[in-house]
Amino acid sequence: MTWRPSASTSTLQARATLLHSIRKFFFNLGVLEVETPILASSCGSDPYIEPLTCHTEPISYLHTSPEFAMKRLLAAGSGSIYQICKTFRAGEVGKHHHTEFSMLEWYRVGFNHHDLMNEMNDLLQTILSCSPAAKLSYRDMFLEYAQLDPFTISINALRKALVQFNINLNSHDNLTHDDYLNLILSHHIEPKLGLLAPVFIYDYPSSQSALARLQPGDPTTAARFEVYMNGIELANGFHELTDASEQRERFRSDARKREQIGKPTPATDHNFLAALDHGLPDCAGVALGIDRLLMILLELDDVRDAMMV
Amino acid sequence: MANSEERTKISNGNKVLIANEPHLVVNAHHAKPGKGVGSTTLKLKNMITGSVTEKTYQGNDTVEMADVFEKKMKFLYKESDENAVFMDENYEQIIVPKSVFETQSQWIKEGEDSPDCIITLYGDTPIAITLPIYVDLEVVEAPEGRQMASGGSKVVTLETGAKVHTPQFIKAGQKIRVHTESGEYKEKVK
Repeated sequence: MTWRPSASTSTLQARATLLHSIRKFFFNLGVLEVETPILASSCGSDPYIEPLTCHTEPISYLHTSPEFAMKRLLAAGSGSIYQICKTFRAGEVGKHHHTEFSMLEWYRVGFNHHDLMNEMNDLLQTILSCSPAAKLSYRDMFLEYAQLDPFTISINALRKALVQFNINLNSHDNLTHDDYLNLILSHHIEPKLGLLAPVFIYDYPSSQSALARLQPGDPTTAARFEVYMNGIELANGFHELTDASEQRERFRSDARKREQIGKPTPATDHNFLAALDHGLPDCAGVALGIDRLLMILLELDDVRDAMMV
Repeated sequence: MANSEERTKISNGNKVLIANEPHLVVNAHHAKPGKGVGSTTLKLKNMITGSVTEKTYQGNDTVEMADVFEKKMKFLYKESDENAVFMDENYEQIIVPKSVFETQSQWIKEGEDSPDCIITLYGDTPIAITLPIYVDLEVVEAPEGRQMASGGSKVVTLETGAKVHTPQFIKAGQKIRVHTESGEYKEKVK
C-alpha cells in the first residue's frame, strides 16, 4: 500500500482551502504574489541548515529559503510581496520535519517586527479560527518556563539547568551559550508553548539575530520573533537587516562557525549582497511552515500526513 | 566490531552501544529548531539489565551501533545448575548462562519438544531469551477436590516442574496453555 499518498484526500481538500485562504488574505491587503528560483547557484550561510546539492556544472543548490531572492525583488522596488514555495533542507527528520516542505514567506515594506506580528496574528485567527496570540519576550519566556535569565546565565549554570531538565547530553562538543539555550528551548520549553493560543516570542539575543537587525538602543537584542502553537515552531520573522557591511560580517561569522563544526561553507550570494548595497527598503519579513499549519488545523500527529509523500 | 551512525538516522528498534552495553532504542525523538543546533533524544532500554535511560545527541554527534542479532533456537538440555545448552537449525550449539535463562527455563521442555525460542546475541554472548507468548504444557500433579482456602483456584505442577494457579476443574494428565511472561493460566488445551 506504499504507493498511496501519505495525506488523505480530505486532508488535501483542507490544504487547498488553506492555500486559497492565504492567497485571499494577501490579495485583500494588496500584497503581491511572486515566484523566485528554487534552483540557485548559492545558498544561505546558516551553520545549522544544510542544502541539497545538485550535480550540475557548475554546482547548484535547491534553496533552503527564498529569502535572498525575495530581498532582491524588494531592493528592485517590488513593494510588499509574498510567496508560497517548496523548500528543501537536507538531513532534517522527525515528526515535524521533512526534507521537502512548503513555506509561506512574506515581506512588508515599512513594517517593523511588531507590526508584522500583528498581521500574522490576524492571519492565524482568520485561518485557524484561534484565539488572539499571546506575546512574550525571549527573556521572559526563559524566566517563566526555565527560571533562568538567558542573557546573563553562565555556561556552567546552563549545563546544570540541562541536568535539572533531564536533558542528558552525550557530548558537549562545540556547544556554545546559544546552543545550550536552543537545547533547553527545544526540549524543555517548546512542548509547553502555545497550547491555548499562538504565542509570539520576540527580541532574541543578538547572537541569534540570523538576518534580523539589532534593536536600536539595545544592541544585546535582535528584532527577531518566532511563533509557536501546540508546542510546534510555526514561523520565524525579522525586522530585516538592511546594512550590507553588517550582513557581510554575519556571513563571515557563520562561515567561522561552520568551519568549527566541520561543515563546508557554500558559495556566497553576491547578487543578494549587491542588492543590499543598492538598498533594501526598511521592511519586516517572516517564514511560516504551511505543512505544520495544516497539521495544527487538522490536529495531525506527523507533518507527512499534511503533505503528499 | 561496532560501527557508528549519524544521530539523525537512528530510529525506533535500532540497537546501540552505550558504555559497552547494547541498548534497544525504544523511542527516537528528533528536534531541530529553524535556527539552531539539532538534537536527537533516544529513550533506551539496556538489553542486559532492562533499565531505561534517556540520552540526547546533538549536532554532529554519532551513535555507536551494537552488533546485536537474533537467532531462532531450541532448548537442548541443562548442562549444570548454571548453564543451558541451545541449538539452532544448523545444529550449532551455544551455552546460555543461568542469569539470562533463569526465570524462563520453567516454561520450556528440553530437546525435540522445545518450542522455538529467540536468543538475542551481542557478539557471541547471549543476552536475552524471548519465549513464545504461550506454551502448552501437561499437568503432572493437581490436588484432588476443591481447595476452599485458596479461593477459586488451586496450584498445579506442570511437566517442566513449574507451578501455576489454575481453576479447580484442571486435573493431572490434562494440557493447559500458559502465558510465559506473566506465568498465568490461559486456558485448557483440548
